[in-house]
Amino acid sequence: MSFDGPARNVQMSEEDARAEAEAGRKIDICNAILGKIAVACLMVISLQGALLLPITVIKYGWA
Amino acid sequence: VTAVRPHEAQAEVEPAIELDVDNPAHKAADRWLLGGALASGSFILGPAGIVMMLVGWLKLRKLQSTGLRVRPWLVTWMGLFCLCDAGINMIGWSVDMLLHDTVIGQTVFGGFGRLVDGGYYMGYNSTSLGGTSFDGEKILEIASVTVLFPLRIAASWAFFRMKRWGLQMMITTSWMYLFLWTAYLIDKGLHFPERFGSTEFGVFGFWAFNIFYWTPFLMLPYLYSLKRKPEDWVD
Repeated sequence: MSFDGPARNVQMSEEDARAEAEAGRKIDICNAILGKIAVACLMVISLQGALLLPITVIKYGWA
Repeated sequence: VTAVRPHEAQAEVEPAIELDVDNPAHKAADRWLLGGALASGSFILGPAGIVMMLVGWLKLRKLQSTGLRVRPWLVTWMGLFCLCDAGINMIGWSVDMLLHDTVIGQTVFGGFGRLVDGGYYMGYNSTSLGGTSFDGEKILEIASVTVLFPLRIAASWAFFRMKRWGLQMMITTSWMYLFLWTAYLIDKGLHFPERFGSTEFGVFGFWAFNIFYWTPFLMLPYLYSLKRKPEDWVD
């Protein structure tokens, strides 16, 4: 099953299909690198959230 | 993996290559990871949540070393930390919205306001709704707590469980998040002197805290890449 409905019925030469697959593979690699940077940023956000209360209490005490 | 059959001395058996996130061992590791993400997102149990996630990660790694195919690691971490992020922001803003008179609320936001964003310190609890006194912040807060973050939490969980609707909702909520972040930055800029001029670390402190929220820009291309492989996702 596809997300976007049935595939378009387009005739493509073998060479074009190979070139398209290779381009798609390179784009996927770049996108995965961006995804890894995103995860690193999300880790920092999670750490900020987890440590905000302890840092605040240590620095300023309880309200 | 090897197994002994009656008519052969020893035969090689292919490891299971089908991804099955409903496998009991996989689910057990996931429980640690999800529990840790929820605890990390709760403010108060934050440090305990980090430890729980580490336990879940070690369990999943051990499982992988036995030959079982586990969920792609990038999907695991992205789902988990999106859950943490949405939890932190939903609980944080909920506290400011509903529990601004409590000791926890005044401690966290008093400190956050003095360190990073004066909007949570200057004139705090001085309007009829309580909490931050800045209108733009309040609008974004209420809209996010009631709409965006509940959707994001549900999407993160379903994405983590590799459900097709989870991936679709992660894409939708990432666009919503991007809208929120843009509006948030503009709102901050409109009250620049009050919100940055009065904090301990000024503009630098704000960006050091806030720059990491640009994640939707980075996540969306990867999420669209995942969409190209619909066979990995279940209904």
